[in-house]
Amino acid sequence: MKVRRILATMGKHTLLVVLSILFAFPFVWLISTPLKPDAEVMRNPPVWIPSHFQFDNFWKAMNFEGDKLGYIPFLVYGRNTVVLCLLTVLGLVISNALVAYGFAKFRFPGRNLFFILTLATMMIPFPVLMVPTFSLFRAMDWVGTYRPLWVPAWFGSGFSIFLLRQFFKTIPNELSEAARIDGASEFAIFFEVVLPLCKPALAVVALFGFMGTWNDFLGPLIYLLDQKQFTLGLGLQAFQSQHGGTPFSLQMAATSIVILPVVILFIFMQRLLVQGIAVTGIK
Amino acid sequence: MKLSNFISASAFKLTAVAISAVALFAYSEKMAERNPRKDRVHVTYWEGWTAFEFEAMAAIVADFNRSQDRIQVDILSESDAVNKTMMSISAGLPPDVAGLGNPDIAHFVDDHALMPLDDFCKEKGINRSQYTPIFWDMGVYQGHVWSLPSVPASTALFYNPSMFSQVGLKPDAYPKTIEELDALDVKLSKLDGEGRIKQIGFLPSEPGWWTWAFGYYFGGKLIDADGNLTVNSKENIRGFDWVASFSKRHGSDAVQSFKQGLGNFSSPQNAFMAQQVVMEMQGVWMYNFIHTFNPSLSWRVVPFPHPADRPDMANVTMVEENNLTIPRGAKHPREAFEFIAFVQQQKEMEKLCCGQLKFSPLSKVTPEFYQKNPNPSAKFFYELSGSPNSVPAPKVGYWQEFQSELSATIDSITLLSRTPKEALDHLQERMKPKVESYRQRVEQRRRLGL
Repeated sequence: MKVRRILATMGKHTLLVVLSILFAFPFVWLISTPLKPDAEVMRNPPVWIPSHFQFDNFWKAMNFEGDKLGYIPFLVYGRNTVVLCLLTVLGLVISNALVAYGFAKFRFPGRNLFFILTLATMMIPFPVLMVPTFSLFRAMDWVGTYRPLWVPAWFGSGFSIFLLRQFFKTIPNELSEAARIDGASEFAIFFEVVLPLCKPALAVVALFGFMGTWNDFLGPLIYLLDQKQFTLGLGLQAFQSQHGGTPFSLQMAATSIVILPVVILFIFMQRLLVQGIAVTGIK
Repeated sequence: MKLSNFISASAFKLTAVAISAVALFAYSEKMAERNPRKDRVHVTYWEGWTAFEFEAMAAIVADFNRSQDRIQVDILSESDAVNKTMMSISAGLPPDVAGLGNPDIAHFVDDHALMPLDDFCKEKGINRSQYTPIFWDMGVYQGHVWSLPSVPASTALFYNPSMFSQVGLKPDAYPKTIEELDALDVKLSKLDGEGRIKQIGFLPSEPGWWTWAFGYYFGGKLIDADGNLTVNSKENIRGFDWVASFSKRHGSDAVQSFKQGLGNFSSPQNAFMAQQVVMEMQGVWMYNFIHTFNPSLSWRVVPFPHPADRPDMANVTMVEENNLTIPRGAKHPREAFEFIAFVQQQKEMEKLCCGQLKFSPLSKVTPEFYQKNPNPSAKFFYELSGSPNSVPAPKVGYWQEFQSELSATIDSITLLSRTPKEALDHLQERMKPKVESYRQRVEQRRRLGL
């Protein structure tokens, strides 16, 4: 019996290791490509370990003014992206938590209808909304500023509202009632009792919002009108020329640096994230 | 915890969040500030070039801004500028100058998205005689001028002379006719020990960018002068019979398997640079790739061969062009055209084309242009583009859809799943209702003034 259990465990682990290796391939390729000489970048079958390590590709990719091979002002684009991400994450966490709390804990006429309407917004693909929203922001004279990229986050998102509402529903009403008996206002109950219990779900919303903004290409492409305003996601396209090829090793070096903050954030928030996803049942 | 503590803690946190949000907002507004010079009219110019191609145009923009004190051109480089431009035109906030490829012009005009430039050209004395005719003509659609060229390109046959020598051929024994090309393909193709293709003389589907065009080398056209589809003309069927003959000669599966093993175009593993394909149809830009990825490669470029019985089809070349246009709704069309006209000056045009390692679209070129231009094939491509058999992509608004249908048809031909006649007859019938519906839509929009 014990042997069977050991064998079963070994089988499971072997399968998981094989699958992990499979999933790790693109990531390993991303990390190894900037270190390769040009001749090995696109070789088929792929070269996993470079014959000569080209560490200076990272420097070349980041160094805009000092080296002609560099293409983008990395620090300026990085700053622009970070500020946008912070504004978006703040807006997402605050607005979605308030709306979701309302849907989860208050009874009011039309609650279900409004909730269905909120969910329905998730089903409209972005390309359909592109021209109307662009026209709207144009009428507000916001094109060419960062506002179209972060202000919508302060007005809720269907996905995050749904996710947080599911989490709020798991919190027993008795906790709120106890605080209410102690004389706490609804706002104090929300801010001091419920929110601290929702860290995992808030972390999921924050991380998804951060990743979405960090990796966004289409939004900045449409709304930004000056090279100096660009974000890192948009800046990466500068490595591709129309008729001169793409220096893949430099592009991959830049890409590795760009995804680094997201990876670090994921590592630090992994436990909260998994907890949040597990509790809300969102995959 | 006491209630008062509750409230003060909440208030503190809330205030901190609010201050952070306001500070971030203020900083983002500062980041977005552009401080335009108030003493000049600002012309916005969106272009799809990046890297060295962008730098070449940015230098021309800087020349223009220095050349006068009334207009300031602000250039924006984005690789997906075409879609951004179309959306901005729809939303009523277009740039003043938009860089478009020649295949985009017809559908932008059909969508009422561009301004005609006829009057501006007349005012500035810009006319067809100043250009290699095809590069002027590519900007003319339905009798009006909609764009002027920025940078042109054309195609020809690249071959590897040292690989010719390896099989006992003279390095200059390049093919002049299609029949000679076929014979060389047989001579230069090699199999490995397991019977797989190791090296191929020529393959119409490598890199496969102009497979739609092979009918033109045999005197065919996809659309006639009256705008009728002529996909299944006998010349086109002959052209695609020739395309299919490569799959028959080498084996369809063997060709597919060979192609799957070829490396990325933009890498040293590029089939021509890795010496897996001896002859390849390519454009003036091929020098950039060779120079970057395999500078020691032995190469020459010659006109693409013609059928032996059609000497009138000598020097067929596919031509392309980047264009400068003024979108409808542009705020400063007159100033925008000032800039476009500036780019058309010989000195500036040569500087731009030299920077992008291309040739000039203008009819006159200074001798220094070729001395300064690092691309040794620039002169050859310039002369070839003057051929009466220069072929641009058909000027129809439905070209993108047509091209994707053509691509599927050509796949069925090269895979030998249909004869060229069957495939082209099928395509002709399939496209007819689509073309009709496109025309109706354009006509309807025209009637409604949209």
